[in-house]
Amino acid sequence: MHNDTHDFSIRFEEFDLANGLHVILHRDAQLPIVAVNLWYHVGSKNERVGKTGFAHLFEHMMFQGSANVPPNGHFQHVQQAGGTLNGSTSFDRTNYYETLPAHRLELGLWLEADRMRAMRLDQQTLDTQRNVVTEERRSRYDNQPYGTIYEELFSRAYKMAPYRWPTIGSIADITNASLDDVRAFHAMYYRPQNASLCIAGDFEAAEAARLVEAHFGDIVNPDGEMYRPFMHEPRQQFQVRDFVYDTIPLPALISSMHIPALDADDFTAIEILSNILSSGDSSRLHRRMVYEERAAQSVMTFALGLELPGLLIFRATAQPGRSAAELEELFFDEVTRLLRDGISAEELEKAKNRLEASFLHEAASVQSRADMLNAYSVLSKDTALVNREIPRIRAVQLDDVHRVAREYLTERNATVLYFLPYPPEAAP
Amino acid sequence: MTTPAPAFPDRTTPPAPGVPKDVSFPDYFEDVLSNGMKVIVYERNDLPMVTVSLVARGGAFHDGASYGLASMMTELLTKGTPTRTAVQIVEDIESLGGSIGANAGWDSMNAGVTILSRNLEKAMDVLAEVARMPSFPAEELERAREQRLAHILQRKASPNALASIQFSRAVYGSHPYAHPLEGTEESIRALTGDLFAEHHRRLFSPNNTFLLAVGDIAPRAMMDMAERLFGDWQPVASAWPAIAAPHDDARRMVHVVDRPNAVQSAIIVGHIGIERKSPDYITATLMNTLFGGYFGSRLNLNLREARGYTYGAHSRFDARIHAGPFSAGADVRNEVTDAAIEEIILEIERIRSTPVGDEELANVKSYVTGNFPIQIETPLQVAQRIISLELFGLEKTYYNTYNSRVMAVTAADIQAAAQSHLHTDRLKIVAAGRGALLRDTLVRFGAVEVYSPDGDLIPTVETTPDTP
Repeated sequence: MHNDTHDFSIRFEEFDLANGLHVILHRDAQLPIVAVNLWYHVGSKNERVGKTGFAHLFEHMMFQGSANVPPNGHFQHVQQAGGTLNGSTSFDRTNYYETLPAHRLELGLWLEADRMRAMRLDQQTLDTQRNVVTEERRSRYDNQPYGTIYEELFSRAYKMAPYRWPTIGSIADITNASLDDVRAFHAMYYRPQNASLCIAGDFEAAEAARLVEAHFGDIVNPDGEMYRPFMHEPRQQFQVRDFVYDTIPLPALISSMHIPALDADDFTAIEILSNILSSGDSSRLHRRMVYEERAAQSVMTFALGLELPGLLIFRATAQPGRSAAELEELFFDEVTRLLRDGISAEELEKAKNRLEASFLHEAASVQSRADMLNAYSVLSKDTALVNREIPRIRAVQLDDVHRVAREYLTERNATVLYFLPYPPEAAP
Repeated sequence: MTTPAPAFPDRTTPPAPGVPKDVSFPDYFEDVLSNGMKVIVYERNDLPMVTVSLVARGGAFHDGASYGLASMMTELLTKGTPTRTAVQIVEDIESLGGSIGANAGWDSMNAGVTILSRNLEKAMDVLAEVARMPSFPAEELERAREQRLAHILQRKASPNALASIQFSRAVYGSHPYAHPLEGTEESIRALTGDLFAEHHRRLFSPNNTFLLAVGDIAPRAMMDMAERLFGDWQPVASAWPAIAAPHDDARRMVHVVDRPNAVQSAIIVGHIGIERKSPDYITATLMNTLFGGYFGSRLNLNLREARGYTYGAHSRFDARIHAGPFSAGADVRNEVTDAAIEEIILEIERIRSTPVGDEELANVKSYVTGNFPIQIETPLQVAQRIISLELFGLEKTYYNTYNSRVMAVTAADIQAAAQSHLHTDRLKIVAAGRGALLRDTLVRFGAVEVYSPDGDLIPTVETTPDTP
């Protein structure tokens, strides 16, 4: 007898400590391992112009020691215990996570509580980490072909919203960061009432709750309001078009349409629409642009769900001899066809199956389940949504997809950017 | 009623560990079909998904002069059979919420589906068809060839791909590992449908493949399905010409791939490493973890945390059927390229000449052994390890004795492994970055050869114009 996906659910309990720290416990004793996953509700959108990249640089500094832990001690303690760890920063949030052998759960809690309580600040480690982050920017973006394609897109698609600069920030801003900035950022955002802690894996719930209280319960929220950006993007009135030269062999097209925030009613239908456009080799854009016309090497579409309104992003790279303009023409031709003729019931069913499968795929490890739980808790303010995701996918009707297509796949809602090889006379 | 105040622990020292639980590598089912083909099942019902892989022994290692043959052949498996077109194959699987794909490595090839378990039976029909009866349609070959040539063109813009290709070339000379497994422009243009059909006939047979299913599927049900779909597949006798083991060129080489606008250098240094079956494998890989295999490794702490040269420095033994490479690398800013290489060389000298301290050794052992259960958490992680056991002919108990063998390694063993498997005199030093700068700064390590992204040697005499 097989499980049916409709039975699949992630069981959890949740509560708040008196200081506001949100706690989620998800037990799964398949293996004696445990995931500790801590989200702070702060990301690059909390930065201000002139301080871009700071939330991410700060995340690096969180590994440079805390009250009772020496620089790099977080890595040392966890790795010596046989665990893995890391952190990551995105537009809306910063997360820190350890996967540990189950009998070292308390170590993970001790480490996270220690750096929530107080950092260890030192000019020399800041100088080193500014260099490390500068090299990270070069390694992942500036020195990679097409590496800056998303920041070039976002800086044009958004006029006001704090998503218009990249999480990694600019090298000039990173270089200007000071210890005072680090201190102030910790005081503003790294506090219990701005955090959500998920423990997932092999543990006893009562014991875990006791340990959380013991390690985090007396951390005090500092005075002062947290800065929350409120700049909403005005509705786009005209299509935005531009081009950028890069050291690349083949042209690329990137285009985006404004869509509502992650927790909006339309979001699931938009994900289905995105899936129908280009998820898998049998999707519309792949079939047309890659397979039939042989104009593109690859195509992709994804709905970027963010706390403030996000983007539906389409990207394609040309085959040799084909131009970005041809890619654009084919893309909008397929959009027009979809708007004119609609989608079939079979396509809808396929997209639902694929979304369901990718949701299940994501739930494979305790660490990724912990991260999913925190995502629903922090960004959608409702952890239980995690178990309504598959029913929500199943509930989307043809009309919903047609409606969101008409609403968002419009020319004036689009930003169109060509990424082009330098012409010979302009090569740097 | 008042709640007692919670007892806050001593926060100045890390909490003591609880009681560890034993973890063993999961048991799995093995049997053979009536034609002798092996079937392996690892059943796990926590998610309603199944992944089934048909794994064939032999890969790019057997490409001969047709570099990219195995890789292109496997890519084309899913592009047509006598009864289904490429479009139908992908539609049939994707409409069920699944994915299908095939790829080749150096030592094996793999065709697989991942599917919601309720749809497994239909997906298995497609998998059996593409594995047994690919038709390599001419039109699909041309399409795949175009795609591959574009990919090869794109590779020339990637600093890491350029460094890696040049590194393999410098290390392996005329051995098959010298060439990119995706092929070169020339070799891809020369591939024909006949080559694929012949290569497929020799490698995809019940006696050279096994079927591995992981996830929400019972062993008996899988055996019945496999017998129905593969039971009548006829064995094929196939012999391969012996390929001589690679040997290191004893010289040090310094190769630069010129990217005039680079803002960083992609560095790879190394030489021939070890075979997967080497008796030194566990000691050598433990030594490597300590040297450059994890965040707390010497290389990373030196190049990243102490000096801020790079976002990360790593090293690895890529152990294959023949000795794959040992390589150490990092992306570093242009002006510290030579200093970073110098540090890597000094670290090699240090691990060869000085025994590792007790604490450092205990830490790395604790990391590797403690991490073992985390490495076998998901069905796909377990599948990857089962495939290694099968391909390299390791004992079925291998992973259950792994931790005790790691714990038995001594500081003297680590030093001996470093002395046998790391060598500064024969290093192949490769950097993709600004040719003009690197030609001057890397000369301290030996005569510098500068190559274009196309792989052509650029003459050492700069042809500078007479007038400014």
